[in-house]
Amino acid sequence: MSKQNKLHALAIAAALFSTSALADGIHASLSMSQQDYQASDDVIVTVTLTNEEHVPVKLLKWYTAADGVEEALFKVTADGEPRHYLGAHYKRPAPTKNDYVKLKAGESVSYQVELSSLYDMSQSANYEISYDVSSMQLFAPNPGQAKKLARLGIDGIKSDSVSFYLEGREFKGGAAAKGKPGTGDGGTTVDGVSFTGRCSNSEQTAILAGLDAAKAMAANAKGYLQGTSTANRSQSVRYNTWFGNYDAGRWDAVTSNFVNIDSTLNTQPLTFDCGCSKSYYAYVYPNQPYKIYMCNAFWSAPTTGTDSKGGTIIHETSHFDVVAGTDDIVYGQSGAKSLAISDPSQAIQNADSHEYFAENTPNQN
Amino acid sequence: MNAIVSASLAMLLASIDQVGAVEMVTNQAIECRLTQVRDTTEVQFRVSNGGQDTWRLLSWHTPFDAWFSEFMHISREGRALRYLGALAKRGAPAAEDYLLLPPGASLVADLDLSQAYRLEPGSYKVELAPIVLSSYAGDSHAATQQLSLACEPLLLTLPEAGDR
Ligand SMILES: [Zn+2]
Repeated sequence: MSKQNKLHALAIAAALFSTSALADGIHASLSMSQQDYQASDDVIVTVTLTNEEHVPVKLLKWYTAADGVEEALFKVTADGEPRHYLGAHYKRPAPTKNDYVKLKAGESVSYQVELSSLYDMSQSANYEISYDVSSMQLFAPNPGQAKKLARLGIDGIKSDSVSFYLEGREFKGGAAAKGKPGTGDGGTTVDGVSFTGRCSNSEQTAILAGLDAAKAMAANAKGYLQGTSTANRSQSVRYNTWFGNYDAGRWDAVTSNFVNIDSTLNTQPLTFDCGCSKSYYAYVYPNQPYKIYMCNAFWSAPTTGTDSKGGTIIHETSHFDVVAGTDDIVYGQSGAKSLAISDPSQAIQNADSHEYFAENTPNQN
Repeated sequence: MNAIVSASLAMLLASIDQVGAVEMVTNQAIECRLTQVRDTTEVQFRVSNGGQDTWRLLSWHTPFDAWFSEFMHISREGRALRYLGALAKRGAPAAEDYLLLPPGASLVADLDLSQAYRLEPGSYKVELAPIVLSSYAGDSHAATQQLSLACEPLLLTLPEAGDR
């Protein structure tokens, strides 16, 4: 949810509406346009914050959904059981001036939030939600205001709750997603590959092209490592560049990694998720094969070559504990080259080193 | 120092802009602390600048990057716990990936370790990868100084449910 949704939410007809005032502080209310949600429906709640003070109040944006939800802003229960917030928890530098929104006396501001990408709504149940935000830094550190709010006992904002019935659906969020590995239920499946997190058609096409490139790279890497005669291995510039000095044990370890990557890409049920909007290429949970979360940089990457779609899929696949269990020890070509020289035993555990070996750009023998 | 923590340092040093000469320094005015929120799996990380200069740090592989990299090492009786968070592949850092630490300021991250580690009642040692800071004199100026800040490991104690 982003800024453009701000304010126009006021136009939504509210079938449900609840309000609650907190002394004469900030008044929060929630409204929803439906009482019943099918699994395919977005669950959109409109949060309206009104300044009932006679003076302007500055609110910390992080807690208002002004820039999207970056904290657990809601209390959610399903048939009375608390439901976890699964969305982002952001790093918090000390707030600066720009991190506050100003509400004039009597002014309201509204935001729309889609809840099923933030909370576990896998269960079909009666849900109840309320807005509940507490933080000492919620209000701007204006000494006069802080004192006044403290006197009124205001250290947070809460709304009354609203209820609705919801048909369970798979969690579609990014960061803390606990997707069921490999099943891709709730998503779509094309040629044995599953997509979750609302992959568009063009995203699916891009992923499948990247996967084809990854398969070609993995097959090439495996063939190269198995096909280079023992006598020639210490002269392999390609190996030496990314994994350092030749050593029989390390060569075998890398070979086994690529055997596993190759077989995983060709035989395991892969799931690709498109719900991430971070600047990364992609991420995985190494203990949750075979699900890869694609992020912004992936979409603009070339299909093959350095830091490509194909290479990214090799990189991420290598992270899975059941595949090669690699780590991110260094990032980038120059870092990986330095690591190969300084510490070959770490290089063979580094995901980017595998990626660059597989991409083999520029081509080396 | 264990492999993950030293490897993370290598990553941070490798990812820092190599333009111009950068001097490694020590600076007593920059402090970091990791503290447990009483009896819980929650910890607070704080890095504070008690000096006169502005410093800058790359959020990657620090507590400000939870949980997209393995920036922490938790062990119990010498045995490492497995990190269950995400590992992300990234390109070059963008401006928003850096955090500024002006004089007198602190940067704070609140973390719930149970989001990335399987924790049971008992005692754990929690170590952070060193935090690398660069001197900062404006976006158009290259850093001239760098410092690697090692934080004291935290002894985390989780009581049995009945003790709470
Ligand atoms: Zn990675």
